[in-house]
Amino acid sequence: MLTYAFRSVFVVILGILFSFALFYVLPDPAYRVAGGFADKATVASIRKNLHLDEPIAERFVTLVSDTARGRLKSFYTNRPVIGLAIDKLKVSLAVAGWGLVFIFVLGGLLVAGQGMSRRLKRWVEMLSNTAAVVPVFISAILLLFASTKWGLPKDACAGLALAIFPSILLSSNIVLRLEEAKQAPHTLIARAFGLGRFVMFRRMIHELAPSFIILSNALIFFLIAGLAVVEEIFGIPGIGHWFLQSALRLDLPVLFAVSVLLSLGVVALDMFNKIVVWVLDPRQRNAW
Amino acid sequence: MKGVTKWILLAILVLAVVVAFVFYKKQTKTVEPKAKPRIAQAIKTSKEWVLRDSAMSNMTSFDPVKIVDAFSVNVLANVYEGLVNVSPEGRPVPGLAKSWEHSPDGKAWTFHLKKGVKFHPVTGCNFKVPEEVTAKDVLYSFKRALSAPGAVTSWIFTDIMEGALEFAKGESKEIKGIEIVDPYTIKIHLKKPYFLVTRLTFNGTWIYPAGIVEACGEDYLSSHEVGTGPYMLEEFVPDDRIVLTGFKAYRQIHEKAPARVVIRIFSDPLAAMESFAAGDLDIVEAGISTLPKARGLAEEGNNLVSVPANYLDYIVMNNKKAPFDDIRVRRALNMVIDREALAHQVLKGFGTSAYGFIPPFSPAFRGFDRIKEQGFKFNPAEARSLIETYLKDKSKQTLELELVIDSGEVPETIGQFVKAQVENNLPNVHVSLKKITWPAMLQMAFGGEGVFYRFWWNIVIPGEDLYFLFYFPGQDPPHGFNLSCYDSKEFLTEYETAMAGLDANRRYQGVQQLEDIMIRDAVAIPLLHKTFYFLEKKGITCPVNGLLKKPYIYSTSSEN
Amino acid sequence: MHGEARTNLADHLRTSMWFVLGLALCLLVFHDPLKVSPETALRPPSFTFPGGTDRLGRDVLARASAGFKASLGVAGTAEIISLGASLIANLLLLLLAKVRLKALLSVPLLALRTVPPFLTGLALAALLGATNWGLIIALAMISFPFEVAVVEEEINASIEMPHIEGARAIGLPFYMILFRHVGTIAAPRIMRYALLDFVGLVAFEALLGFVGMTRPPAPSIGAEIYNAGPYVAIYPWLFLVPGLLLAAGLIVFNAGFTRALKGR
Repeated sequence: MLTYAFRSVFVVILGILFSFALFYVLPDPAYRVAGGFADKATVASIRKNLHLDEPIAERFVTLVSDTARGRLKSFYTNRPVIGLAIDKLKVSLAVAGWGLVFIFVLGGLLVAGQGMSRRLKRWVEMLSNTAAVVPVFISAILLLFASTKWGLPKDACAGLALAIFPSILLSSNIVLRLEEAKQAPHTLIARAFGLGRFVMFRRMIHELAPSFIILSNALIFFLIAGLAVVEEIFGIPGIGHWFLQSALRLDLPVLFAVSVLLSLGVVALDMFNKIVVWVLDPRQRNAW
Repeated sequence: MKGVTKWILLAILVLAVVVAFVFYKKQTKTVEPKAKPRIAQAIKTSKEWVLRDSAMSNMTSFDPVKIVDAFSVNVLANVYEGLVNVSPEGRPVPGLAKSWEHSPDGKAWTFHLKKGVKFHPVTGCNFKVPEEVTAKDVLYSFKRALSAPGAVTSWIFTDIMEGALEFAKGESKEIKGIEIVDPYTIKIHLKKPYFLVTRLTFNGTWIYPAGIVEACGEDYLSSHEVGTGPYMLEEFVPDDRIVLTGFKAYRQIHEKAPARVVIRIFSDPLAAMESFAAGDLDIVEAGISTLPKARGLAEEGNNLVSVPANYLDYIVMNNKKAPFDDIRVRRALNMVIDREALAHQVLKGFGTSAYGFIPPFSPAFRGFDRIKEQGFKFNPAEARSLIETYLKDKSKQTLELELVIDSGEVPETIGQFVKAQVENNLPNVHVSLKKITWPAMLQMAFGGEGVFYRFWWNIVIPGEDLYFLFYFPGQDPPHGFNLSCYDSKEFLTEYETAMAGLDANRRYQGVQQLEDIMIRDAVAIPLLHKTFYFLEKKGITCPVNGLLKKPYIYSTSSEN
Repeated sequence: MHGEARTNLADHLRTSMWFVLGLALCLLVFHDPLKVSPETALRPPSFTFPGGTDRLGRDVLARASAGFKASLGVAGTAEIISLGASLIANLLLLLLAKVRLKALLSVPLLALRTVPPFLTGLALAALLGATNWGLIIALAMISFPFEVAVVEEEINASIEMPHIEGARAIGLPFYMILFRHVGTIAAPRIMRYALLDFVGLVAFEALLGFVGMTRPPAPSIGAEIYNAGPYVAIYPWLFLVPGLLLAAGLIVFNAGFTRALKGR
């Protein structure tokens, strides 16, 4: 348990260090800040102002302490980054919230559809396999068009675009695991003994634990890239769009703050996964 | 399994309803600012109304000496004033100075300040704002333009004002060239005869109270404003909105002007256009992807106004690096580009063809037909013979060029068009395209590494000298940012003469002569001048100009 | 016996038909995708130009087809590299687990997952420049940290299977269990993830186009679709033609892969 906690802290630090290292490969932000008046003296003055010439270690420590104290300021708008990040996170959460709703609804429908009859199952499988390979930005552009044409709420359409792939992934995983669980010896034995459906269902949840983990890992990657793309297409000023624009503008404080948030988030999710598995699947309790 | 499935389905549906209920938000109409306005100073006209504007960018700073983008200048032009303001037609008019005169040799300029001009109230700092604007505030602001850490504005004065360069470098404690005659009179001594007035419209010369930075901190002006303009900057929420509130103590409140201006920030032009169509905006800018929709909306009684901007989209050639050090190559490349096709067939709705270097909003502009006659001509045959002669002299068979562009629809389209035109018309020339990000482009251009790339400029203040800012010899001011590494004694001499012209017409003629020299020397490849398009709701009249786009202080009125 | 052999052949033919169809989509280049002609700019689909034309008068269908081929190459290669690297990384993880040093590799891999992919892309663009291989490496590096995790989970899940437990119980060698048994179960699922990841990489390639990793005027289908987004209402063919072609291509390849994997 303790080693796991240490490991998590180490992961966060390492992750932040990786992101920070990338700054030294990017072009010089001072020229962008100077805009069309980038003579040598101005660029030097800007570099000094933004602490870009300090030694690496000192700069890293300053960045981390500024982030922790909420004093980190955007190069672009001169506003505290943390405040901006929270505002934008709220906007993104609205989209993510709709995404979650659609994941559950669509996912549930797909699972139910595959459980009802063989014929329906084949159709649902075919449909979901087809929809899964359509890239998110195609469905996002189509949904944007629909939203502007028929006045549908943007957040909902963006959430739907984001939800298509994860819901299919989730449902196909659940169905697969449930089918395996059905064939597992302990299930067969339980059925032979005539145990009730609910009891069996409880047992089968153990089989779902791995799906959950696989889904969350795929979800993180998809959501990070997908949220930015969807927000960009819909013009939603959320954290994904902000991050993308900041990366293009070389707004390093923003990139750093988002990297920190991401590190913490991924580690938190990893911990959450472990807890879920611990709860749901007793067999894996020793795997720590 | 069926029974279980039904229960799963039911559970999910219930959960979905609950989550949807929690997360659903009704679409709100116009956003009302939540911050407390400075009510005591707020304007009260008989007919108060709120102008709802839109924007695609954020403000980078509120500090006059640190802003570099046209948008921030555009907004703050309603909040700050300099000695000289800009009229809706883009001409210099009295601002904080009610009048000015100059010595016969044009080297000494005296400005007489208006009396009783009030500053906006200061918030978030314990600073007592002076009763009125006086000469010491002007001196303070000018000093800061030259020496504040992170300032990008020192070049305004360093080449023309006596003692400015020394002060900017920290070699002297005072600026020799500024003389305070009395609290309302300031005299400026120049190194050479120059029409100083246009320089004083620049944002770096905007005036704020003396001692503000010492009292409130260096960063204070980055996020607060203490201007004298007709509007106060009430609120800026990045990626959301900017709110301007009328300043009651402003000396000349226009009776039809809006009491408040709410600028909503959009991330994409289509969303802004949709908002206008839904009735949530009074003004929206139309761009290359939204112009057809704007035209449609204009037919419903709205007003689509357009104005040619002080903007040039062009290709930079480093005149000192082969093969662009040879005038034959530079001229040939200019002659193979069909600028009409680019403006009217390819980039429909972007702007007009550019055959010269003076932007169309300038009074010095000769007119579209005249410049087409006098500027670069489309002549592929002559271009081919020039290239053949060049290759023969260099004993080469082919010419390999690399054109650098940044990412975006316009630069990429321009790059691909230019490549196709050059290769189609000049068989022995091959162009490869390299795409980099905008910050990398700025670093390459201003770091002196650029050879052949697409660039653009947008000059937001009147000032004929600024059209040539990017062509002067030397990388550092006092002569500008010479991206083309252009080095011509004739050009410099003519420039000095033209800019010394204290008569406007003499100056415009001088500027046209400078353009002729640049065309003859084929310094760069001008391509397009952007056109600003604005859709105004029926009954709203907001003057637009090719510089600052929308100065609200002037006659923005509503008939509703 | 005779009947079985025939069914097998028919099956193989049907599976390969999907791949042939997918590859055929790369050949719809009836005009030069690079030829600029402003006179034919922004024309809707017609007999001469079945896909309509873009701003520079180029045939949209030809560009979509050529772009699809290019993206297949780039994203496909990147996915293969990422998959290969993930498999190797997992093998290393299993070996390290045996000597209780798993954390040496798993911690950096987890940390890599926390770096925002676009930032990685931006940095690699600055480092590698706009070359085809630069793009491939960037895409592979973006996909790798997440693919490693997925492969790891699939392998772990497969290890829990009863027949694997049985195999371990009867003392079959580690490598035999890994490659013959775990591999056979996990492989189809991993391949399925790889295909979906490949789709994501095609999309990400468009995003990387913004940071200068593509070389215009060579078309890239993701970029073609993305750039057409604002014009859906005005010039719909700019979006629909490459969008439908990409969707069709991916669906067709997916069908082929699913059929090929179903046999196992």
